[in-house]
Amino acid sequence: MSYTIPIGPYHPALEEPYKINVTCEGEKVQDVDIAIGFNFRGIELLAQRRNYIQDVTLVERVCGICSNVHTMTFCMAAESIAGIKIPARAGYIRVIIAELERLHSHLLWSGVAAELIGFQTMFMEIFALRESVMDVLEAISGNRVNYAMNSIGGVNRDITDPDSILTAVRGIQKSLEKLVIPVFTTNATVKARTAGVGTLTREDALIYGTVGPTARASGLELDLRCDQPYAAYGELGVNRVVQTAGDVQARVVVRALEMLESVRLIEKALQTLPSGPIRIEDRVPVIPLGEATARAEAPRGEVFYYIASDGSDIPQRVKVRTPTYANMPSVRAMSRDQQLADMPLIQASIDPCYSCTDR
Amino acid sequence: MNDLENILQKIPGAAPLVSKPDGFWMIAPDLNVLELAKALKEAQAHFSTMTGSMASEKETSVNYHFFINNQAYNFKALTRENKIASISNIYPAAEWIEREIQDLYKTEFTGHPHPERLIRPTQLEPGFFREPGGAASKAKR
Repeated sequence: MSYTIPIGPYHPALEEPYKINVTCEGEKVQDVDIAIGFNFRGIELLAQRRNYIQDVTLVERVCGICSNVHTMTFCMAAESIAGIKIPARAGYIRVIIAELERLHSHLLWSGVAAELIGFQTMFMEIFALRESVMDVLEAISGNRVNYAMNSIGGVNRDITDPDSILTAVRGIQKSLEKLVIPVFTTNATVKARTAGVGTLTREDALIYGTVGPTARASGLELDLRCDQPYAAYGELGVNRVVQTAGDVQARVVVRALEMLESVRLIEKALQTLPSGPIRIEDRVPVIPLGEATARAEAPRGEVFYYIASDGSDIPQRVKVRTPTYANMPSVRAMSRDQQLADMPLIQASIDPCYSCTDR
Repeated sequence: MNDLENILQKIPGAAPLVSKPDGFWMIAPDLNVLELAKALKEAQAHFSTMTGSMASEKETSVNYHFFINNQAYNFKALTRENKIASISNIYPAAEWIEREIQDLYKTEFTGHPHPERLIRPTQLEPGFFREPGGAASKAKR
């Protein structure tokens, strides 16, 4: 006889509200029903009541982890309507911040994953390493969480001392190569807890419209940094990381290897940082009548923005689609016939962000 | 005009595709979105999302955002009496966003398999996003 277990909306593993009702037959999961909307903030509605400058600050609050990618994508959509081309140096700085953000986001997730599989020492090591990344972000932007780096037409702060950032990033690379990558790719405990667990087939990944590392771990070669390069990704070149197993281990490996790719991109961007201005001269550009979409590869996958403008200083409509919104429904496919005890790990393996999702 | 564009032009209510910096756009108020979804599914298009926005006091503009071979395609349709066909049976990935637009704009997606509340706070009525943005929002306040 089947029974249903509600998990959430306050989950002990993830400090954000959502709920899944898990239907089980014995210890085997038959189906899950996912409920969101516990942290709805109406950010899109607020955005159509505020001007563009205020909205850059507002959308930075969509997510507390990938805050930078939201302001960047919002600015990209506005720049597309206005036909603004940002200076080359600004494009490179946008890449550096975006990749530092990816590093700290993947490290955060790796730490949570380590804790979920019962690897407490690894959790502590990873969170200590993440602090180093936060220090670099703070050194550049003055902030640890909401960096306020992006503006319509460029970036707000320059990187004045690339050498010190380079030294710090190389230190992070050493720790990644020495500790994080070997543990997540070869450690027997990690493999035992993740291999064959929560498999998402390539077909299901397509049907559910998954994005980011979740999609790439199921063999989908989707990475906007390669597919539709923006900022300076076209000049720097990105090696996409793809796995085909589709299980939790594949998601772990994709994120682990992507951290090394992020380090490579940061190093290359710092070494080839062009000179010149960091933003266009017009500090408050007019966004004319029009509409545009913009997409960027956030740590969790594609972030989508749509802006409609009537030519005033307030957008008519701002639409935000976060990666977890696209990935979360696929947990249903990952969970079927899995052990109930693996559910926390499975749903955490998409690196969910519910506050982003609810907006 | 390539094969896909030929197929898209044959969909009832279709309009010419316009190339913009962010991809192709089709502004087609009377577009048959079910036929559109079938054609795009056939072309192995990846569903990105949909955007609802208030078109008038009673109607909602619904944008469909897809990409095919790294090229973005955007289709702008309009509801009739605030109703439009659901594409969730063709693209299951559209199920949540259709429910969200239903919550925010009170739009009915006919044929939706699970038209329940998704994101709306229970103390609010459906359609609470139906207010003008842009300059009109300033005038209203």
